[in-house]
Amino acid sequence: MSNINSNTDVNHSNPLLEVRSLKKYFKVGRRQFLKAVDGITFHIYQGETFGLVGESGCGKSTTGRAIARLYSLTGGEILYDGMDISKFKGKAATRYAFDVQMVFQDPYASLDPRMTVESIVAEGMKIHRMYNSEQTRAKVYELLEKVGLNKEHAARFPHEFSGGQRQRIGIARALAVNPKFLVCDEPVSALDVSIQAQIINLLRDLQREFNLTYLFIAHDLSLVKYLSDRIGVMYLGSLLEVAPAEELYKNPLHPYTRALLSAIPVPDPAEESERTRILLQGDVQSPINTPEQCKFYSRCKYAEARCRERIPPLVETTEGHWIACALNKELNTDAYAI
Amino acid sequence: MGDHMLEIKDLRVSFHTYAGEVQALGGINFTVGQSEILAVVGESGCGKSVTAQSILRLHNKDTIDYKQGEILYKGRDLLALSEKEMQKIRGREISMIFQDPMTSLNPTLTIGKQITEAILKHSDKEGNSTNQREANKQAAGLIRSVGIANPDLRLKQYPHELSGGMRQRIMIAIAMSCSPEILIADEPTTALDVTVQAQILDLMKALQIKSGASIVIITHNMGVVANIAQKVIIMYGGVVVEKGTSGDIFYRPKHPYTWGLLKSIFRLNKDKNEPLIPIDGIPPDLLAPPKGCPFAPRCDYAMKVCREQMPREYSFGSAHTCDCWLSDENCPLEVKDWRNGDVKYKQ
Repeated sequence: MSNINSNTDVNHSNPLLEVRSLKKYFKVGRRQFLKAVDGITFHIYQGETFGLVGESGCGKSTTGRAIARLYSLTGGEILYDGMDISKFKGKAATRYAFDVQMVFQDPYASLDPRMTVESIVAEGMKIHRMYNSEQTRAKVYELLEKVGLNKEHAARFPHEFSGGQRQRIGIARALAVNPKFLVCDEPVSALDVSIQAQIINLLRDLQREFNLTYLFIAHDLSLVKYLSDRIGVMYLGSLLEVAPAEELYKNPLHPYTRALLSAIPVPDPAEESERTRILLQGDVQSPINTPEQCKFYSRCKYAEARCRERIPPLVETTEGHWIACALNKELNTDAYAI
Repeated sequence: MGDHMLEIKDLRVSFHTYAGEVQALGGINFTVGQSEILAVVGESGCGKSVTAQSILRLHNKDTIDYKQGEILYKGRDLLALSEKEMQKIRGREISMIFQDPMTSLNPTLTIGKQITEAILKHSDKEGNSTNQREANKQAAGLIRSVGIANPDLRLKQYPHELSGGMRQRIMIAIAMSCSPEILIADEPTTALDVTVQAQILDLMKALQIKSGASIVIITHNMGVVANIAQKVIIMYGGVVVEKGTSGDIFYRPKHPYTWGLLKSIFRLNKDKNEPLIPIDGIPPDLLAPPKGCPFAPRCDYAMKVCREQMPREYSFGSAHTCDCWLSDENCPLEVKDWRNGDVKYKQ
């Protein structure tokens, strides 16, 4: 095994999912719009894990939910296998609902407390009339075993399980309809450290076994880096940087990515005491009616007049490394070295 | 020894619940020195918050049962104090900040009111009490000292008008308002974003240097521990399994649980080919605590004795201790390298 992350064969010629200039605004008052996602573009290849990171309120969950068709879009489009998902009707919509499943953050709130584990996991299969009742039950047992539980657990209720076990149930439910694409929205952030590693390993094994493609949303950059092939960094509704995981960590370009990376405490006291930290001034702006300029403008130490002209588009600087910054390639020069 | 600010001696705490008696703390010992930053690390349910809240006696008297032990603050047993005497300790001598800055401020009172409340309640160390105007002035100074601009405006605002990071700064300002000797911070940065977390940790370190207070920080984030702590105690299932300096814990860990913790965390500089090794199983049920070591059911090295009897505390050097049978000289096992689980039997 060469690289743990090359679980599946990533097909680089053919994006499974393409997000183009996606916008999702929420109306929060008269002429007041909360711009949760404000024109982001990226694509996810078949078989890869795309990590989406950012701090609370940056729009990463909204993006995930939009992909799962839980929202209608304000603008832009999402293409799945080359087809616009907002145009899906009837059979195509059902097909998409099979293919794309979600794993949610809070394993305490995302399972119906009045349903048994069996009915939770079987619900999707029953709605879609996939199997007869015997087959369904057999499938439930199989799934529970796949996620590290066993068939004795099927008759129990969610409250009888720990957080990590509940998340396993949530994963079994997502896998029940044989999806191709999983949107994992902070699947481990509610869990304890030792349990987080169990779930991450499980997700990775399942990816290999079922040839799954993941959109992995999390705020913990060290975790995302460990699991993802490529990473996108979001801030206040904009996607600021996209790069392969290792490249993003070794050669972060966007001033926000640099600050974010430097803020993560490293679990090593000697290293930690020697690190220089880029402290960001102030707080994140309000996402309501944000002006058409770089979203990071107010906190960026390199901010210039040209940063206010428009929202900088995502531009490829070196192969596979994209940034959305008016300074663009200049960030690579010594003048902007960290 | 002897100049400990705080000394916890064999503290056993249980809660009475409908389901039965939950043994939250099963006899813990540790000390906090003057101007020291101590981190208490452990997973949810390990008893770290109960420890913190017991120091200030914040629990409901009807449900908590202090079975045994002492909490000595400058030599006085806090568990023996009356509620009225305890009131004088809280805030002025020992203060606390909580995990969730969204819910620990009162939404119906202005920031100014909440900061001055503590200042007005406690007279200063010389016994002089303060009036509202002076208190306001002090509050403005405090707000400035925690890095918030425009203090006069902030004093008039309500908590919902501030961001999470700012609210946590206000909590710290309130906690520091009576210049306490010990600040207990229960997961102070868990609810915050990483860039804000970095700001708050820097602020706490700066305030600690300025005021000379001791800090007890409770966290489950080993990165935060590495950043701020001088001493660390690792808790599991209601007991302290290992304690030592930050260097002891990170570079010379002795307890299998500490090993497991260090192996299962995500590191930015971790090579992807390096496997992530989780600790299998789940934490113990404290309604029916296991007879021996609480970690034994999940421990890769568990021996028969581990399931029968609680290990005693073994010392390594001045401050480093570990409660594990592996540390016993008669233990037949020797762990050569905990990172890859290399074990051999002693001859």
